[in-house]
Amino acid sequence: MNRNGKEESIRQLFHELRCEDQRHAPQFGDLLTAARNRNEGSNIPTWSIKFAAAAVLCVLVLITIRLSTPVRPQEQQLVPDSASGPLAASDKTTDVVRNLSQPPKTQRHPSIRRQSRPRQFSSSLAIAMKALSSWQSPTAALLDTPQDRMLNTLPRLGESLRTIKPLSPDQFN
Amino acid sequence: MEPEELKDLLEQQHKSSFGWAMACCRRNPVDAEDLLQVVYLKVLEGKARFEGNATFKTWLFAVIRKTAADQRRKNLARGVLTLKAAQQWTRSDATEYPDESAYRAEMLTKFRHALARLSRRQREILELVFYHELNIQEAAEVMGISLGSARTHYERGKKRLRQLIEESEAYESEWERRKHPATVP
Repeated sequence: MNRNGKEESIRQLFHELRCEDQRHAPQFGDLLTAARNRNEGSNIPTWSIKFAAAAVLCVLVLITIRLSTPVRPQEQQLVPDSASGPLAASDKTTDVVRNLSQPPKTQRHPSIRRQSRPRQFSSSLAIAMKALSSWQSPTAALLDTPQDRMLNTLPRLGESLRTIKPLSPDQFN
Repeated sequence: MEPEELKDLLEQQHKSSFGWAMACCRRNPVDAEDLLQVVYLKVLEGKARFEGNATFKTWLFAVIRKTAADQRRKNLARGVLTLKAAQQWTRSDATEYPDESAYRAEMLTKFRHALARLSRRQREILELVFYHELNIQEAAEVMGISLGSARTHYERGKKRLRQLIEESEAYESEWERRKHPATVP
């Protein structure tokens, strides 16, 4: 069979196929009615699914916003944990930290508290830094020895070691 | 366009639309009916609008094709494309037309299988040209591809379909020869 003949046979086969499909095609009216019934039946689930999806989305957005807001100053830990090291913080520093972690009792209204928070935070931070710079270990006294007296005084002629007085800037005046 | 006017146009094209829906659904009549229902609703509810840039038939066929692609994607996402569906489709080939003669049924079944072995675009363009008697330009518009691309798919599809039919005939004659070695030379 030549090429044109083959093409003609393909055309014939397609024609047969079309005849078969058209013979078994559903009625237009029936199909349209079924489509409308199907659409009516599927309206409520679609709506409810969309509503549920929107609600879940809203909740997720709220959670995201809540998590992404900056941490309040009261919740921030400015000083390292006192239990982490062998040396405990001095009483002064502990008091400052305690003051920092507790909001002032006078600021009751939320809007006022929110406005004054940065200033309060900066002044408290300054106090804390000052306290930290003058901090001394509670065991610092153990470093003092009896020889410190001799090392911190100026020996004089004719004086015995026992009578040596500590050198003070007042005696030169 | 008024809904009544649209409905009339849809009714005029209904049989052709069903044939094209069959082509888009791998000749599964149940899927084709579902597809047409969705398409008719789309058109009548105004979700798909006829702007008059092409003929109504070309535009409608493009809507059917696009909707079929959407349905396929949805089915794949839902995991509905199961073995059961495939079995239903294969079975429907054999039991679809009980009233036709055995020879004709067999011939058409072979032809459908040959068509199914073509690539989607080759199959679509051959259906549009031979089945729906569109020209290649109109077929390209329906498929949303360029004219050159449509010509290429058309030529390759025709060649491949010829090969498949010849293979089928050769297999059949070989089968006959083995079955009746004395009668067939």
